[in-house]
Amino acid sequence: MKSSALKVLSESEIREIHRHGLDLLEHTGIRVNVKKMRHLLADHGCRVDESSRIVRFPGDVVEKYMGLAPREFPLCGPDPEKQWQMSPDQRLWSGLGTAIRFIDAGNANRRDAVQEDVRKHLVLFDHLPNITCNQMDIMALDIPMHTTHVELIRAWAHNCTKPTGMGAYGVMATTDMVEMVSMVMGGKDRIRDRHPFNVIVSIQSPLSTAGIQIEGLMILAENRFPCIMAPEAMAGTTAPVTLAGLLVQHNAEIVSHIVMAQVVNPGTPVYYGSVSTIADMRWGTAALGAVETGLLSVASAQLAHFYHVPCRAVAGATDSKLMDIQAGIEREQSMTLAALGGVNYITCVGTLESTNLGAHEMTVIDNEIIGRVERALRGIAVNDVSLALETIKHAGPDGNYLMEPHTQKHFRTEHFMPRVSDREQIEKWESAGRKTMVDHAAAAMEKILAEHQPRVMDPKLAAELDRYVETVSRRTVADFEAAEWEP
Amino acid sequence: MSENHLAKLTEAIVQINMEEALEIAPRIIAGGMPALEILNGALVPALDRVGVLFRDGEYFLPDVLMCVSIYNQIFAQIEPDLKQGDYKSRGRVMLGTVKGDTHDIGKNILSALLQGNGFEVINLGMNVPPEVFLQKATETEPDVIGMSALLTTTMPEMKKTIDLFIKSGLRDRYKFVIGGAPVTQAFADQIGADGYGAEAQSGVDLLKQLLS
Repeated sequence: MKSSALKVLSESEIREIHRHGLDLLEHTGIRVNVKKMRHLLADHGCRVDESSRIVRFPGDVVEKYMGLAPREFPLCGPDPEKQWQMSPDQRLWSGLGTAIRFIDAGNANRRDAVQEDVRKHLVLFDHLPNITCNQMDIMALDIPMHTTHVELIRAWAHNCTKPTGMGAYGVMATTDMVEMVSMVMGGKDRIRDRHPFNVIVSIQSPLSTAGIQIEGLMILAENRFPCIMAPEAMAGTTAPVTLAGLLVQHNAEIVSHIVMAQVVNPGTPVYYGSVSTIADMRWGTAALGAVETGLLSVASAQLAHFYHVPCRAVAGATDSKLMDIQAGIEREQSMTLAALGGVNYITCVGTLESTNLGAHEMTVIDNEIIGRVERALRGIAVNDVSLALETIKHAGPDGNYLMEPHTQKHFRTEHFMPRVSDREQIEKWESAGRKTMVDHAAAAMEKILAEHQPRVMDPKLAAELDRYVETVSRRTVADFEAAEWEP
Repeated sequence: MSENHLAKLTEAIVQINMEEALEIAPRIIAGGMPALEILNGALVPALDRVGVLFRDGEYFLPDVLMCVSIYNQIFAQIEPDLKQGDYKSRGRVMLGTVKGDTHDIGKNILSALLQGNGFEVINLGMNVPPEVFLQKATETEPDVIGMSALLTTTMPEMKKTIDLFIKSGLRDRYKFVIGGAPVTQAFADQIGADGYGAEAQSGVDLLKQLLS
């Protein structure tokens, strides 16, 4: 059988959190910092207090619009024939974070992230079989900040055949995203039913919204881009210190945002997202590598599936600043918990230091960790072939299974085959220079970057994207600010 | 058409498609192609490619062993004709697990890899006493004698075997190589062996070097 799913909430506890969340939405409400959104919600039965910008969501409104969110939807890459299904029954792994620095050369060299890292990252993600998506992973510091989003999409179109995504960043940037992704896909009508671009809508915990995120949500939902509703509620600072209390609040926040997307455009694909974690009580900062992040991921998956939508959660994030034991423990544990808990879109591959730091070697290693986790979840198949009765008889007492055809036929699927873990015998390991997993990953990374050719770019599209990037680069940050809607 | 058949046979071996390989080979033989041409045009290039795939980490031991098994089955079919030709193996290697030791997985892996690399292998099996090594060596005249031990308690048998060859005045006619989990280069030096391989692939490299 497959390995048993992990649960941290009972059925009645899920309903209890749901019920208290509804109560919060109806009586305490959410502060919605975009007037246009408040008006739309009022038109659909919510109670709006303009002076405080608080919107209260009656239970029947919540129920009606939650029911409009699709259970599943297809994701695709720039070549739309490459397709993946997203649903509460699937599991895809993705990068995420905004790495502003990178380490390479086996932990030694710490430096600014540059646009070349974006390209490398996309090529690696495209090649590595266990990673399906990437999400605004790198904040390159060698380009103007206001071009980050268009540079990412251009680089993606050139270097990747898998889905990508970013965060919702206000009216102008989100519109750019919709325009450029449409260009890549050959028109807006071609991305309404297949989705190459997942967008994170960050929720401002507790019980509030960031204006630019809500603007982004409205534009994205209008164009049916999948929206990941993602609070980073921190137990002890932006949420109750107790995980159950955090979940009540975080659930209400996510539900309110899903309702907002469905009010804008019924049927918009959404994820029940979670970046929630605990605050470190010594510093007051988020501790993404904490064991509690994993528990909250499992709870989020249970709640998401209660609402029949896919869940996105953070795993593989670490508070370590190096590719060291802490980084290994924190990522492996959170990945295993999230996967066992049934999270459908698991992000933060390839990151360190609470996702502020990137390492291409880490991406290669994460691909391997994911392989291990996926193998663990597959469990032990028991059937006529796997019971191997004939083979046991054939090998006989003192036999050797290495020579049995059954071994050759099944070892690749039955065993996880590591690529960068070191299992060399000591003498060879010594003579080969005592290489670590990070060394092996660096070598694998170099090989992929030297050999992998993701796709052939249409020169016409390339020129079209170049023109768009050029237009955006002539803008100033003030242009972006001027485009914002009334709060 | 013959070129095409050889390419197909090569591909079938490399892809570990035993059924297809064993179906194509007899047809090529029946078509009258000289054995040496089959050997050099398909069997040897196939195992060369398998060797590269193994070294690059794409292929694993069970893959190599299956490829060698296919190779051996086809080789047996063409061998009678090869005797008249000018085929020469890379070297003749006699392998055995020493007396008192019944571990032979590693030795068998080495045996398969050696065959895959063009060596002729005489496999004496497990629990081989020094006298049998001596007797079989004089009968078959190998270039190299390889001994394996998996127990620290049976390692001294390696020294006893070499000492027996010395006593018989035959030590210098053969190269002695040893291997097995507890064995080390230092032990090899201590008992006067000509080489030591940490695992099967190193063993192949060692023999290539010793017989070059």
